[in-house]
Amino acid sequence: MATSGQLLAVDSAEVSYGPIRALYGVTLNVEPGEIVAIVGPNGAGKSTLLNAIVGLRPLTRGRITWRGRDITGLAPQQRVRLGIGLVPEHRRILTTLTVEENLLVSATALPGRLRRVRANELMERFEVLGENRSRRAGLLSGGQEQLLAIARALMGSPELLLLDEPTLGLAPIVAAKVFGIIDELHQNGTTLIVVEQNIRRVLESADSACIMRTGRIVERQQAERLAARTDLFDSFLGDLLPTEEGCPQRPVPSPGADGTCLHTERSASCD
Amino acid sequence: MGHAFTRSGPLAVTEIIQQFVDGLGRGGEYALIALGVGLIFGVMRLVNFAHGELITVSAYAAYGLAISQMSWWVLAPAIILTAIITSVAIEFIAFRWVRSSSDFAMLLTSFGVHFVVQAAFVMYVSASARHFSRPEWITTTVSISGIRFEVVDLSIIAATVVSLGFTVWVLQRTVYGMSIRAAAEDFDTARLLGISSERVIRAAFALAGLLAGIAALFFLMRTGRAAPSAGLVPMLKGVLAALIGGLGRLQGAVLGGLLLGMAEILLVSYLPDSIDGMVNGVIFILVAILFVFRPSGIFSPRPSQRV
Ligand SMILES: Nc1ncnc2c1ncn2[C@@H]1O[C@H](COP(=O)(O)OP(=O)(O)OP(=O)(O)O)[C@@H](O)[C@H]1O
Ligand SMILES: [Mg+2]
Repeated sequence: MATSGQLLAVDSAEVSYGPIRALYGVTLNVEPGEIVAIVGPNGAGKSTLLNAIVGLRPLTRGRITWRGRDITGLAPQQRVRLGIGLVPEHRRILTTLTVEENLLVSATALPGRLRRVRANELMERFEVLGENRSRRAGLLSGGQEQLLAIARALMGSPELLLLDEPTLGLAPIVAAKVFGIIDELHQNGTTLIVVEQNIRRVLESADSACIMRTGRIVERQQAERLAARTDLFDSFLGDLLPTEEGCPQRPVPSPGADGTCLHTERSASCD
Repeated sequence: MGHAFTRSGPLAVTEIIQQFVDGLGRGGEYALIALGVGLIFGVMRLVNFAHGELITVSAYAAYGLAISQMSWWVLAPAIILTAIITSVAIEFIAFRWVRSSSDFAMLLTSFGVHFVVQAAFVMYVSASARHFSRPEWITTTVSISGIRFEVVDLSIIAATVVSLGFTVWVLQRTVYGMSIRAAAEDFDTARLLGISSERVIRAAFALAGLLAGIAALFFLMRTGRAAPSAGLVPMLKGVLAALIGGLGRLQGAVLGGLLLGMAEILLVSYLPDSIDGMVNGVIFILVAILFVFRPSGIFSPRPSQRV
């Protein structure tokens, strides 16, 4: 599978939280320009994988290469400079900083003046951010926060953008907007890895998809093929499109026809 | 600290104003130290009990220069510069290595630095205090519309205002300052955005050193004394002020310092003379009582406002 044109290669990556193993030998290759969707039940290790790629979680085994160069030991800020960006789970915007400041502290590799230019560009592109530029980011709505988290990751013009559940908790109309941004970035040649609960929608955008379970990638498929597999959707309780107050109901675990048993267990707060 | 008034006669407006200025002068010094403690806590989650060493080392630098007949025009910048260099050096030599270990390990390291510096001065200089001359104008008073002020108090207030203004400018307007605030809020996210943790921490230590240096300057002008434990009490007061304001809240640290200074001046003036020496004890008890009711400091939002 390995080709010379690979952008990112994760090779037999293992990650542990103390005694708890979260990734068991994950291997993932990403070609330039593609969108890879990562789906799987809660606790499968999707966020851990993205955090490992960007360097927030050290590998206990395995390695990560970027354009053929080993980056396993690099700190997050160094990887960001190489062109990897992450829109983290739960957005993690800096609530005590203003919208504009959130952008300005990103992409510290850029000299100050260019950074302001880039921040202004993004605030024009995402109008709500421009309208709220001097507002404390903690006062934004969920959808505005998500746009800020995305804009912030775009400050450094990343070649590879990782998005961790970017539509979680958003109203459908806002979620659609986020997917619009994903498609637009794709058209402009950005490579993306998207972790999503809304499988049906993410498969529409993605080129290929990985199914993760208990710390492993159990399957990688072309997106269209996976989209045709109704068993997946049944087992995830269909198309989960969480609304603002909305937590999807607790689904009944159901084994997939071909043995891929995927079931979603939302956290206790969702019940 | 300055008491240009006597405690006789009815409580006059002039007396209140003088006490207020006294309190501001003392509180300003605490505020400068507390702000540094708060900055370092913000980026490292460390209550730096070695912060007083910046004052101790500066005190010996001042002593060394003073016995070589240098004037205060040389001593002043030397004191500030020494504090900055010491601050950055302590981070580089000690804290850098324990940054990713537990908060407790960092706390122990800060105690370790405190004792090592103290022991070094006892061993290589002297266990007893060394004295040097204070600037002549230190006891000068000026009279403004009938009220006498000590020049040193007015200078501290002016210096505090300027340094706090500078700190606010750095934190609010420069990308460096924004990065410090970002790291103080969420270190992992800051790293994710490309902010270099080393640089942010070094910047915070340098800024904390500058503020402590300015506090040390006035402290040393007033005491003219270098001792191995010179920094201990100012450090404790600074930590206390930072706690009063809510650790990590920078405005809180400043207000906490001013409040502590005011409280001390009031206690010194109104406590009966027989227990005058117990001001520090009374202060600690008051602060302890405060924490029973407001565990995260006076200026922290009420728990219900927390998200
Ligand atoms: N900080 C942590 N400390 C300890 N264990 C953790 C931590 N973060 C995650 N884990 C564990 O690692 C495993 C993988 O978690 P991870 O968050 O990567 O899953 P996920 O697929 O992103 O799940 P979700 O869909 O809920 O976001 C889980 O078993 C989880 O309990
Ligand atoms: Mg996750």
